[in-house]
Amino acid sequence: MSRYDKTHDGEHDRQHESAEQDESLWVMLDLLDRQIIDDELQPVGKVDDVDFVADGLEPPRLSALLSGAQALGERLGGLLGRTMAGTARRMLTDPRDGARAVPWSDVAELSYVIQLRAGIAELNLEPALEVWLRDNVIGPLPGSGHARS
Amino acid sequence: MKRVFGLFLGIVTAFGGFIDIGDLVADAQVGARFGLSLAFVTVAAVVIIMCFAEMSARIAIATRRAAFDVVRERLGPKAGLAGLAASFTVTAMLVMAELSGVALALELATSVNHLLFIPVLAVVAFLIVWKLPFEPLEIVFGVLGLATLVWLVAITHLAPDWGSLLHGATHPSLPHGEGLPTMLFFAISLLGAQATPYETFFFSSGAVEQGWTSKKSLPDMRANVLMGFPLGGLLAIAIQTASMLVLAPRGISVQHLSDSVSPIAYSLGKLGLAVAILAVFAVTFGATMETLMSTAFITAHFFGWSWGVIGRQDRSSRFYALIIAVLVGAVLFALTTIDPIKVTIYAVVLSSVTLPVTFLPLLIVGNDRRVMGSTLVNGKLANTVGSLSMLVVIPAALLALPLLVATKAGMG
Repeated sequence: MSRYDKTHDGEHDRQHESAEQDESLWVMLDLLDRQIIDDELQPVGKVDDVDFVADGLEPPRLSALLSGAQALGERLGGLLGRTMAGTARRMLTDPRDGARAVPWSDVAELSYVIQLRAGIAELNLEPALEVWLRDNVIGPLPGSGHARS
Repeated sequence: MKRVFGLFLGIVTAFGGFIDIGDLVADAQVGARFGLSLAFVTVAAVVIIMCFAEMSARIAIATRRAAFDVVRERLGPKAGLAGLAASFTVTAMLVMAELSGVALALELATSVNHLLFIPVLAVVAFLIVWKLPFEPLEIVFGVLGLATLVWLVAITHLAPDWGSLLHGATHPSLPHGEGLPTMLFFAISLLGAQATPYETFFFSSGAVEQGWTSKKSLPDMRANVLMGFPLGGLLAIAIQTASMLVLAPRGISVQHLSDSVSPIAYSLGKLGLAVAILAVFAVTFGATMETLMSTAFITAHFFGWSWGVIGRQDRSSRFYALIIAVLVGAVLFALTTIDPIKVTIYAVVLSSVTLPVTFLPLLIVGNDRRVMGSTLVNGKLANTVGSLSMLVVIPAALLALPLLVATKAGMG
Protein backbone atom coordinates (compact mmCIF):
# COMPACT_ATOMS: atom_id res chain seq x y z
CA MET A 1 0.00 0.00 0.00
CA SER A 2 1.46 3.31 -0.94
CA ARG A 3 1.08 5.90 1.71
CA TYR A 4 3.03 8.62 -0.01
CA ASP A 5 2.79 8.69 -3.72
CA LYS A 6 6.15 9.20 -5.31
CA THR A 7 4.72 11.22 -8.16
CA HIS A 8 4.28 14.67 -6.77
CA ASP A 9 2.05 17.32 -8.24
CA GLY A 10 3.68 19.57 -10.83
CA GLU A 11 3.71 22.46 -8.40
CA HIS A 12 5.77 20.40 -5.96
CA ASP A 13 8.40 19.61 -8.53
CA ARG A 14 8.72 23.25 -9.45
CA GLN A 15 9.07 24.12 -5.79
CA HIS A 16 11.74 21.49 -5.41
CA GLU A 17 13.62 22.64 -8.47
CA SER A 18 13.60 26.27 -7.42
CA ALA A 19 14.88 25.28 -3.96
CA GLU A 20 17.74 23.48 -5.67
CA GLN A 21 18.44 26.27 -8.07
CA ASP A 22 19.02 29.06 -5.62
CA GLU A 23 20.36 26.67 -2.97
CA SER A 24 18.65 28.65 -0.23
CA LEU A 25 16.89 26.70 2.45
CA TRP A 26 15.15 28.11 5.47
CA VAL A 27 15.69 25.85 8.47
CA MET A 28 12.64 27.24 10.26
CA LEU A 29 10.32 27.08 7.25
CA ASP A 30 11.60 24.20 5.14
CA LEU A 31 13.06 21.79 7.66
CA LEU A 32 11.89 22.07 11.27
CA ASP A 33 8.79 20.03 12.13
CA ARG A 34 8.66 18.45 8.67
CA GLN A 35 8.17 14.70 8.21
CA ILE A 36 11.15 12.47 7.35
CA ILE A 37 10.43 9.31 5.32
CA ASP A 38 12.75 6.58 4.10
CA ASP A 39 13.21 5.35 0.53
CA GLU A 40 10.19 3.03 0.93
CA LEU A 41 8.08 5.98 2.10
CA GLN A 42 7.97 4.63 5.65
CA PRO A 43 7.83 7.43 8.27
CA VAL A 44 11.13 7.89 10.10
CA GLY A 45 10.22 10.79 12.36
CA LYS A 46 9.91 14.55 12.46
CA VAL A 47 12.75 17.02 12.12
CA ASP A 48 12.76 17.90 15.80
CA ASP A 49 15.98 19.89 15.64
CA VAL A 50 18.98 20.43 13.36
CA ASP A 51 22.73 20.24 13.90
CA PHE A 52 25.38 22.54 12.43
CA VAL A 53 29.12 22.08 12.27
CA ALA A 54 31.55 24.93 12.01
CA ASP A 55 35.19 24.49 11.13
CA GLY A 56 37.55 27.38 11.06
CA LEU A 57 36.53 30.46 9.22
CA GLU A 58 33.99 28.71 7.00
CA PRO A 59 30.33 29.54 7.70
CA PRO A 60 28.54 26.84 9.71
CA ARG A 61 27.22 23.95 7.63
CA LEU A 62 24.04 21.97 8.23
CA SER A 63 25.32 18.53 9.22
CA ALA A 64 22.34 16.54 10.45
CA LEU A 65 18.62 16.47 11.13
CA LEU A 66 17.81 15.40 14.70
CA SER A 67 14.70 13.38 15.38
CA GLY A 68 13.00 11.89 18.42
CA ALA A 69 11.74 12.78 21.86
CA GLN A 70 15.21 13.69 23.13
CA ALA A 71 15.82 16.27 20.42
CA LEU A 72 12.27 17.59 20.70
CA GLY A 73 12.50 17.83 24.49
CA GLU A 74 15.78 19.72 24.33
CA ARG A 75 14.35 22.10 21.75
CA LEU A 76 11.18 22.70 23.76
CA GLY A 77 13.04 23.39 27.00
CA GLY A 78 11.26 24.08 30.27
CA LEU A 79 10.14 21.46 32.75
CA LEU A 80 8.14 19.49 30.17
CA GLY A 81 10.95 19.54 27.63
CA ARG A 82 13.58 18.47 30.15
CA THR A 83 11.34 15.64 31.40
CA MET A 84 10.69 14.50 27.84
CA ALA A 85 14.39 14.56 26.91
CA GLY A 86 15.43 12.92 30.19
CA THR A 87 12.91 10.09 29.82
CA ALA A 88 13.96 9.51 26.23
CA ARG A 89 17.64 9.42 27.20
CA ARG A 90 17.00 6.92 30.01
CA MET A 91 15.02 4.65 27.71
CA LEU A 92 17.99 4.08 25.46
CA THR A 93 19.63 0.78 26.31
CA ASP A 94 22.54 1.75 24.14
CA PRO A 95 23.06 5.37 25.05
CA ARG A 96 24.05 6.94 21.80
CA ASP A 97 25.66 10.30 21.75
CA GLY A 98 22.70 12.62 21.69
CA ALA A 99 19.50 12.19 19.73
CA ARG A 100 18.84 10.21 16.57
CA ALA A 101 20.76 12.07 13.90
CA VAL A 102 20.13 11.84 10.19
CA PRO A 103 23.30 12.94 8.37
CA TRP A 104 22.45 15.61 5.82
CA SER A 105 24.20 13.44 3.21
CA ASP A 106 21.51 10.78 3.66
CA VAL A 107 18.78 13.17 2.49
CA ALA A 108 17.78 12.26 -1.05
CA GLU A 109 14.89 14.54 -1.81
CA LEU A 110 13.28 17.58 -0.31
CA SER A 111 9.67 18.59 -0.88
CA TYR A 112 6.88 18.94 1.66
CA VAL A 113 8.46 15.83 3.18
CA ILE A 114 12.11 14.89 3.49
CA GLN A 115 12.99 11.61 1.83
CA LEU A 116 16.12 9.63 2.71
CA ARG A 117 18.29 7.64 0.32
CA ALA A 118 17.89 4.26 2.05
CA GLY A 119 15.67 2.29 4.43
CA ILE A 120 15.08 3.16 8.06
CA ALA A 121 16.72 -0.08 9.29
CA GLU A 122 19.69 0.21 6.95
CA LEU A 123 20.41 3.73 8.13
CA ASN A 124 20.10 2.55 11.75
CA LEU A 125 17.40 5.08 12.50
CA GLU A 126 14.80 2.89 14.16
CA PRO A 127 13.56 4.58 17.33
CA ALA A 128 14.28 2.73 20.59
CA LEU A 129 10.66 2.84 21.75
CA GLU A 130 9.40 1.43 18.44
CA VAL A 131 11.90 -1.44 18.60
CA TRP A 132 11.13 -2.21 22.23
CA LEU A 133 7.35 -2.22 21.66
CA ARG A 134 7.74 -4.38 18.54
CA ASP A 135 9.86 -6.95 20.35
CA ASN A 136 7.87 -7.02 23.57
CA VAL A 137 4.29 -5.94 22.93
CA ILE A 138 3.08 -5.80 19.33
CA GLY A 139 5.33 -8.39 17.66
CA PRO A 140 4.29 -11.28 19.93
CA LEU A 141 0.57 -10.70 19.25
CA PRO A 142 -0.88 -13.12 16.70
CA GLY A 143 -1.24 -11.68 13.22
CA SER A 144 1.16 -8.78 13.67
CA GLY A 145 3.17 -9.86 10.64
CA HIS A 146 6.27 -10.03 12.79
CA ALA A 147 8.64 -12.87 11.96
CA ARG A 148 9.30 -14.76 15.17
CA SER A 149 12.86 -15.69 15.85
CA MET B 1 -24.69 2.89 -11.93
CA LYS B 2 -21.61 1.71 -10.11
CA ARG B 3 -20.54 5.31 -9.72
CA VAL B 4 -23.90 6.30 -8.25
CA PHE B 5 -23.64 3.43 -5.80
CA GLY B 6 -20.11 4.44 -4.81
CA LEU B 7 -21.29 7.99 -4.28
CA PHE B 8 -24.17 6.72 -2.14
CA LEU B 9 -21.76 4.74 0.05
CA GLY B 10 -19.51 7.77 0.45
CA ILE B 11 -22.40 9.97 1.50
CA VAL B 12 -23.68 7.35 3.90
CA THR B 13 -20.22 7.07 5.43
CA ALA B 14 -19.92 10.82 5.90
CA PHE B 15 -23.40 10.80 7.41
CA GLY B 16 -22.44 7.99 9.81
CA GLY B 17 -19.31 9.89 10.75
CA PHE B 18 -21.33 12.96 11.63
CA ILE B 19 -23.83 11.40 14.07
CA ASP B 20 -22.40 10.02 17.31
CA ILE B 21 -23.07 9.90 21.05
CA GLY B 22 -22.49 13.66 21.28
CA ASP B 23 -25.42 14.30 18.95
CA LEU B 24 -27.69 11.75 20.58
CA VAL B 25 -27.14 13.41 23.95
CA ALA B 26 -26.72 17.10 23.10
CA ASP B 27 -29.52 17.27 20.53
CA ALA B 28 -32.00 15.46 22.76
CA GLN B 29 -31.09 17.74 25.68
CA VAL B 30 -31.33 20.90 23.63
CA GLY B 31 -34.65 19.85 22.07
CA ALA B 32 -36.20 19.12 25.46
CA ARG B 33 -35.12 22.47 26.92
CA PHE B 34 -34.95 24.92 24.04
CA GLY B 35 -37.11 23.40 21.31
CA LEU B 36 -35.77 24.39 17.93
CA SER B 37 -34.33 27.70 19.14
CA LEU B 38 -30.79 26.40 18.70
CA ALA B 39 -31.37 24.64 15.36
CA PHE B 40 -29.50 27.52 13.70
CA VAL B 41 -26.37 26.44 15.62
CA THR B 42 -26.61 23.03 13.97
CA VAL B 43 -26.90 24.69 10.56
CA ALA B 44 -23.80 26.80 11.31
CA ALA B 45 -21.89 23.77 12.68
CA VAL B 46 -22.67 21.79 9.49
CA VAL B 47 -21.38 24.62 7.30
CA ILE B 48 -18.22 24.91 9.45
CA ILE B 49 -17.44 21.18 9.44
CA MET B 50 -18.12 20.93 5.69
CA CYS B 51 -15.69 23.76 5.05
CA PHE B 52 -12.86 22.35 7.17
CA ALA B 53 -13.36 18.68 6.28
CA GLU B 54 -13.18 19.64 2.61
CA MET B 55 -10.12 21.81 3.27
CA SER B 56 -8.31 19.10 5.25
CA ALA B 57 -8.97 16.56 2.48
CA ARG B 58 -7.64 18.98 -0.14
CA ILE B 59 -4.52 19.55 1.97
CA ALA B 60 -4.14 15.78 2.31
CA ILE B 61 -4.36 15.41 -1.46
CA ALA B 62 -1.81 18.19 -2.08
CA THR B 63 0.72 17.29 0.62
CA ARG B 64 -0.08 13.68 1.62
CA ARG B 65 -0.11 15.00 5.16
CA ALA B 66 -3.04 14.70 7.57
CA ALA B 67 -4.50 17.45 9.73
CA PHE B 68 -2.21 17.14 12.75
CA ASP B 69 0.99 17.19 10.68
CA VAL B 70 -0.15 20.55 9.46
CA VAL B 71 -1.03 21.71 12.97
CA ARG B 72 2.48 21.05 14.22
CA GLU B 73 4.20 22.37 11.13
CA ARG B 74 2.38 25.71 11.34
CA LEU B 75 1.97 26.20 15.10
CA GLY B 76 5.43 24.92 16.03
CA PRO B 77 6.18 22.26 18.63
CA LYS B 78 5.03 24.15 21.74
CA ALA B 79 1.57 25.31 20.71
CA GLY B 80 1.26 22.14 18.63
CA LEU B 81 1.95 19.95 21.66
CA ALA B 82 -0.63 21.86 23.70
CA GLY B 83 -3.10 21.36 20.87
CA LEU B 84 -2.26 17.67 20.71
CA ALA B 85 -2.72 17.25 24.46
CA ALA B 86 -6.12 18.97 24.36
CA SER B 87 -7.36 17.17 21.24
CA PHE B 88 -6.10 13.82 22.51
CA THR B 89 -7.82 14.26 25.88
CA VAL B 90 -11.14 15.22 24.31
CA THR B 91 -11.04 12.42 21.74
CA ALA B 92 -10.04 9.84 24.37
CA MET B 93 -13.00 10.97 26.53
CA LEU B 94 -15.18 10.44 23.48
CA VAL B 95 -13.78 6.90 23.04
CA MET B 96 -15.11 6.11 26.51
CA ALA B 97 -18.42 7.87 25.81
CA GLU B 98 -18.98 6.15 22.44
CA LEU B 99 -18.04 2.74 23.87
CA SER B 100 -20.50 3.34 26.71
CA GLY B 101 -23.08 4.36 24.10
CA VAL B 102 -22.74 0.98 22.35
CA ALA B 103 -23.02 -0.76 25.71
CA LEU B 104 -26.08 1.33 26.69
CA ALA B 105 -27.75 0.41 23.37
CA LEU B 106 -27.17 -3.25 24.22
CA GLU B 107 -28.50 -2.64 27.73
CA LEU B 108 -31.69 -1.13 26.25
CA ALA B 109 -32.09 -4.24 24.10
CA THR B 110 -31.24 -6.88 26.70
CA SER B 111 -31.68 -5.24 30.14
CA VAL B 112 -28.20 -6.50 31.02
CA ASN B 113 -26.15 -3.85 32.81
CA HIS B 114 -24.09 -1.94 30.28
CA LEU B 115 -20.87 -2.22 32.28
CA LEU B 116 -20.80 -5.96 31.56
CA PHE B 117 -20.65 -5.29 27.83
CA ILE B 118 -17.84 -2.77 27.96
CA PRO B 119 -14.79 -5.08 28.22
CA VAL B 120 -16.23 -7.39 25.54
CA LEU B 121 -16.92 -4.50 23.20
CA ALA B 122 -13.41 -3.16 23.75
CA VAL B 123 -11.96 -6.50 22.65
CA VAL B 124 -14.20 -6.51 19.56
CA ALA B 125 -13.14 -2.94 18.77
CA PHE B 126 -9.50 -3.91 19.07
CA LEU B 127 -9.92 -6.96 16.81
CA ILE B 128 -11.55 -4.75 14.18
CA VAL B 129 -8.65 -2.27 14.30
CA TRP B 130 -6.11 -5.07 14.38
CA LYS B 131 -7.30 -7.37 11.65
CA LEU B 132 -10.08 -6.00 9.52
CA PRO B 133 -9.88 -3.52 6.69
CA PHE B 134 -11.70 -0.54 8.10
CA GLU B 135 -13.17 0.83 4.89
CA PRO B 136 -15.88 -1.81 4.28
CA LEU B 137 -16.77 -1.76 7.96
CA GLU B 138 -17.14 1.98 7.93
CA ILE B 139 -19.66 1.50 5.12
CA VAL B 140 -21.51 -1.18 7.12
CA PHE B 141 -21.72 1.14 10.13
CA GLY B 142 -22.81 3.96 7.83
CA VAL B 143 -25.59 1.90 6.20
CA LEU B 144 -26.82 0.61 9.56
CA GLY B 145 -26.63 4.21 10.76
CA LEU B 146 -29.33 5.06 8.21
CA ALA B 147 -31.64 3.48 10.78
CA THR B 148 -31.39 6.86 12.53
CA LEU B 149 -33.81 8.08 9.85
CA VAL B 150 -36.42 6.51 12.15
CA TRP B 151 -36.34 9.88 13.93
CA LEU B 152 -37.80 11.52 10.80
CA VAL B 153 -40.47 8.81 10.58
CA ALA B 154 -41.33 9.31 14.24
CA ILE B 155 -41.74 13.07 13.81
CA THR B 156 -43.99 12.61 10.77
CA HIS B 157 -46.06 10.14 12.75
CA LEU B 158 -46.50 12.66 15.56
CA ALA B 159 -48.12 14.96 12.95
CA PRO B 160 -46.72 18.21 14.28
CA ASP B 161 -47.69 21.67 13.06
CA TRP B 162 -44.89 22.09 10.52
CA GLY B 163 -45.52 25.80 10.21
CA SER B 164 -44.92 26.44 13.90
CA LEU B 165 -41.83 24.17 13.83
CA LEU B 166 -40.37 26.29 11.06
CA HIS B 167 -41.32 29.44 12.93
CA GLY B 168 -39.62 28.13 16.09
CA ALA B 169 -36.45 27.33 14.17
CA THR B 170 -36.29 30.67 12.38
CA HIS B 171 -37.27 32.80 15.39
CA PRO B 172 -34.99 31.67 18.23
CA SER B 173 -36.24 32.75 21.62
CA LEU B 174 -35.22 32.21 25.21
CA PRO B 175 -37.69 29.77 26.79
CA HIS B 176 -39.36 30.80 30.05
CA GLY B 177 -37.21 29.96 33.07
CA GLU B 178 -33.94 29.56 31.13
CA GLY B 179 -31.04 31.98 31.39
CA LEU B 180 -29.09 33.36 28.48
CA PRO B 181 -25.77 31.89 29.77
CA THR B 182 -27.37 28.43 29.88
CA MET B 183 -28.65 28.79 26.34
CA LEU B 184 -25.21 29.96 25.21
CA PHE B 185 -23.65 26.98 26.98
CA PHE B 186 -25.91 24.58 25.12
CA ALA B 187 -25.23 26.37 21.84
CA ILE B 188 -21.50 25.78 22.38
CA SER B 189 -22.09 22.13 23.29
CA LEU B 190 -24.04 21.68 20.04
CA LEU B 191 -21.20 23.27 18.10
CA GLY B 192 -18.70 20.93 19.78
CA ALA B 193 -20.91 17.89 19.20
CA GLN B 194 -21.42 18.62 15.51
CA ALA B 195 -18.20 20.23 14.33
CA THR B 196 -16.19 17.66 16.34
CA PRO B 197 -12.46 17.95 15.63
CA TYR B 198 -11.98 14.18 15.32
CA GLU B 199 -14.10 14.22 12.16
CA THR B 200 -11.40 16.33 10.51
CA PHE B 201 -8.58 14.14 11.87
CA PHE B 202 -10.24 10.95 10.70
CA PHE B 203 -11.32 12.31 7.33
CA SER B 204 -7.87 13.65 6.41
CA SER B 205 -6.07 10.54 7.73
CA GLY B 206 -8.31 8.42 5.52
CA ALA B 207 -7.48 10.62 2.54
CA VAL B 208 -3.75 10.12 3.13
CA GLU B 209 -4.10 6.41 3.87
CA GLN B 210 -6.08 5.72 0.70
CA GLY B 211 -3.75 7.84 -1.42
CA TRP B 212 -6.39 10.20 -2.77
CA THR B 213 -5.37 12.12 -5.86
CA SER B 214 -6.75 15.40 -7.10
CA LYS B 215 -8.21 14.18 -10.38
CA LYS B 216 -9.99 11.10 -9.14
CA SER B 217 -10.99 11.85 -5.58
CA LEU B 218 -11.75 15.57 -5.46
CA PRO B 219 -15.29 15.48 -6.95
CA ASP B 220 -16.28 12.39 -4.92
CA MET B 221 -14.85 13.83 -1.73
CA ARG B 222 -16.78 17.08 -2.25
CA ALA B 223 -20.00 15.19 -2.98
CA ASN B 224 -19.59 13.15 0.22
CA VAL B 225 -18.97 16.25 2.31
CA LEU B 226 -21.64 18.42 0.68
CA MET B 227 -24.35 15.77 0.98
CA GLY B 228 -23.32 13.54 3.90
CA PHE B 229 -22.81 16.26 6.50
CA PRO B 230 -26.04 18.20 5.74
CA LEU B 231 -27.93 14.89 5.96
CA GLY B 232 -26.31 14.43 9.38
CA GLY B 233 -27.34 17.98 10.32
CA LEU B 234 -30.93 17.28 9.24
CA LEU B 235 -30.97 14.26 11.48
CA ALA B 236 -29.53 16.26 14.38
CA ILE B 237 -32.40 18.74 14.01
CA ALA B 238 -34.81 15.79 13.82
CA ILE B 239 -33.53 14.55 17.19
CA GLN B 240 -34.04 18.05 18.61
CA THR B 241 -37.57 18.12 17.17
CA ALA B 242 -38.59 14.70 18.49
CA SER B 243 -37.27 15.64 21.88
CA MET B 244 -39.14 18.95 21.82
CA LEU B 245 -42.44 17.33 20.78
CA VAL B 246 -42.39 14.47 23.28
CA LEU B 247 -40.10 15.32 26.20
CA ALA B 248 -40.59 19.08 26.62
CA PRO B 249 -44.39 19.03 27.29
CA ARG B 250 -43.83 16.41 29.99
CA GLY B 251 -40.98 18.27 31.63
CA ILE B 252 -38.56 15.38 31.03
CA SER B 253 -34.88 16.33 30.89
CA VAL B 254 -32.36 14.03 29.25
CA GLN B 255 -30.36 12.17 31.89
CA HIS B 256 -29.84 8.85 30.15
CA LEU B 257 -29.49 7.54 26.63
CA SER B 258 -32.94 5.94 26.98
CA ASP B 259 -34.39 9.47 27.22
CA SER B 260 -32.91 10.22 23.79
CA VAL B 261 -34.76 7.29 22.19
CA SER B 262 -37.97 7.47 24.24
CA PRO B 263 -39.68 9.86 21.76
CA ILE B 264 -39.37 7.08 19.16
CA ALA B 265 -41.00 4.55 21.47
CA TYR B 266 -43.77 7.05 22.21
CA SER B 267 -44.41 7.75 18.56
CA LEU B 268 -43.81 4.40 16.85
CA GLY B 269 -43.97 1.77 19.58
CA LYS B 270 -41.77 -1.28 20.00
CA LEU B 271 -40.73 -1.74 16.41
CA GLY B 272 -39.64 1.88 16.14
CA LEU B 273 -37.72 1.57 19.40
CA ALA B 274 -35.92 -1.52 18.07
CA VAL B 275 -34.85 0.40 14.98
CA ALA B 276 -33.74 3.33 17.14
CA ILE B 277 -31.65 1.04 19.35
CA LEU B 278 -30.04 -0.49 16.27
CA ALA B 279 -29.31 3.03 15.04
CA VAL B 280 -27.71 4.04 18.34
CA PHE B 281 -25.64 0.85 18.31
CA ALA B 282 -24.40 1.45 14.75
CA VAL B 283 -23.52 5.11 15.05
CA THR B 284 -21.79 4.76 18.42
CA PHE B 285 -19.85 1.67 17.33
CA GLY B 286 -18.71 3.42 14.17
CA ALA B 287 -17.76 6.46 16.23
CA THR B 288 -15.90 4.28 18.77
CA MET B 289 -13.64 3.10 15.97
CA GLU B 290 -13.22 6.59 14.56
CA THR B 291 -12.40 8.28 17.87
CA LEU B 292 -10.09 5.42 18.89
CA MET B 293 -8.11 5.54 15.68
CA SER B 294 -8.09 9.34 15.74
CA THR B 295 -6.29 9.42 19.10
CA ALA B 296 -3.50 7.30 17.62
CA PHE B 297 -3.55 9.15 14.27
CA ILE B 298 -3.00 12.59 15.77
CA THR B 299 -0.23 11.38 18.10
CA ALA B 300 1.54 9.54 15.27
CA HIS B 301 1.18 12.55 12.98
CA PHE B 302 2.54 14.93 15.59
CA PHE B 303 5.60 12.84 16.45
CA GLY B 304 6.16 11.49 12.94
CA TRP B 305 5.54 7.83 13.85
CA SER B 306 4.65 5.23 11.27
CA TRP B 307 0.98 4.41 11.49
CA GLY B 308 -1.63 1.85 10.60
CA VAL B 309 -0.16 -0.70 8.19
CA ILE B 310 -2.60 -3.62 8.12
CA GLY B 311 -0.73 -6.91 7.76
CA ARG B 312 2.51 -5.41 9.07
CA GLN B 313 1.33 -4.01 12.40
CA ASP B 314 4.82 -4.64 13.79
CA ARG B 315 6.00 -1.76 11.62
CA SER B 316 3.74 0.61 13.56
CA SER B 317 4.27 -0.75 17.06
CA ARG B 318 3.94 2.61 18.82
CA PHE B 319 0.72 3.32 16.93
CA TYR B 320 -0.90 0.01 17.88
CA ALA B 321 0.44 0.09 21.44
CA LEU B 322 -1.18 3.50 21.87
CA ILE B 323 -4.51 2.17 20.56
CA ILE B 324 -4.36 -0.63 23.14
CA ALA B 325 -3.49 1.86 25.89
CA VAL B 326 -6.37 4.19 24.99
CA LEU B 327 -8.84 1.28 24.88
CA VAL B 328 -7.69 -0.05 28.25
CA GLY B 329 -7.89 3.47 29.66
CA ALA B 330 -11.42 3.94 28.27
CA VAL B 331 -12.57 0.62 29.76
CA LEU B 332 -11.11 1.42 33.19
CA PHE B 333 -12.61 4.92 33.05
CA ALA B 334 -16.04 3.46 32.18
CA LEU B 335 -15.79 0.84 34.93
CA THR B 336 -15.43 3.57 37.56
CA THR B 337 -19.23 3.82 36.90
CA ILE B 338 -18.87 7.50 36.05
CA ASP B 339 -21.96 8.66 34.14
CA PRO B 340 -21.13 8.40 30.40
CA ILE B 341 -23.76 11.05 29.58
CA LYS B 342 -21.90 13.56 31.77
CA VAL B 343 -18.60 12.56 30.16
CA THR B 344 -20.21 13.14 26.76
CA ILE B 345 -21.40 16.63 27.73
CA TYR B 346 -17.95 17.59 29.04
CA ALA B 347 -16.29 16.10 25.95
CA VAL B 348 -18.43 18.03 23.45
CA VAL B 349 -17.93 21.29 25.34
CA LEU B 350 -14.17 20.73 25.51
CA SER B 351 -14.25 19.81 21.81
CA SER B 352 -15.35 23.33 21.04
CA VAL B 353 -12.31 24.63 22.98
CA THR B 354 -9.96 22.72 20.67
CA LEU B 355 -11.62 23.69 17.37
CA PRO B 356 -9.49 26.80 16.61
CA VAL B 357 -6.26 24.85 17.23
CA THR B 358 -7.12 22.53 14.34
CA PHE B 359 -8.96 24.92 12.07
CA LEU B 360 -6.57 27.88 12.05
CA PRO B 361 -3.50 25.94 10.74
CA LEU B 362 -5.70 24.29 8.09
CA LEU B 363 -6.90 27.69 6.95
CA ILE B 364 -3.31 28.98 6.71
CA VAL B 365 -1.94 25.97 4.81
CA GLY B 366 -5.02 25.83 2.59
CA ASN B 367 -4.09 29.34 1.48
CA ASP B 368 -0.41 28.59 0.84
CA ARG B 369 -0.19 28.45 -2.93
CA ARG B 370 3.41 27.20 -2.74
CA VAL B 371 2.27 24.12 -0.82
CA MET B 372 -1.15 23.58 -2.36
CA GLY B 373 -0.52 24.34 -6.01
CA SER B 374 -2.87 26.47 -8.09
CA THR B 375 -5.59 23.85 -8.53
CA LEU B 376 -5.96 22.82 -4.88
CA VAL B 377 -5.41 26.14 -3.09
CA ASN B 378 -8.39 27.60 -1.17
CA GLY B 379 -10.89 29.40 -3.36
CA LYS B 380 -12.92 32.47 -2.42
CA LEU B 381 -15.74 30.37 -1.00
CA ALA B 382 -13.51 28.26 1.26
CA ASN B 383 -11.73 31.38 2.51
CA THR B 384 -14.89 33.35 3.16
CA VAL B 385 -16.62 30.51 5.00
CA GLY B 386 -13.37 29.54 6.76
CA SER B 387 -12.71 33.08 8.00
CA LEU B 388 -16.30 33.60 9.12
CA SER B 389 -16.08 30.24 10.93
CA MET B 390 -13.14 31.54 12.93
CA LEU B 391 -15.38 34.39 14.14
CA VAL B 392 -17.67 31.71 15.58
CA VAL B 393 -15.25 29.08 16.87
CA ILE B 394 -12.76 31.43 18.58
CA PRO B 395 -15.35 33.19 20.83
CA ALA B 396 -16.99 29.79 21.46
CA ALA B 397 -13.62 28.32 22.51
CA LEU B 398 -12.96 31.24 24.86
CA LEU B 399 -16.45 31.16 26.41
CA ALA B 400 -16.78 27.37 26.73
CA LEU B 401 -14.93 26.83 30.02
CA PRO B 402 -16.23 29.94 31.85
CA LEU B 403 -19.79 28.98 30.84
CA LEU B 404 -19.22 25.36 31.86
CA VAL B 405 -18.36 26.55 35.37
CA ALA B 406 -20.92 29.37 35.56
CA THR B 407 -23.88 27.24 34.45
CA LYS B 408 -22.69 24.05 36.22
CA ALA B 409 -22.66 22.25 32.85
CA GLY B 410 -26.11 23.56 31.99
CA MET B 411 -27.71 22.37 35.21
CA GLY B 412 -27.62 25.78 36.92
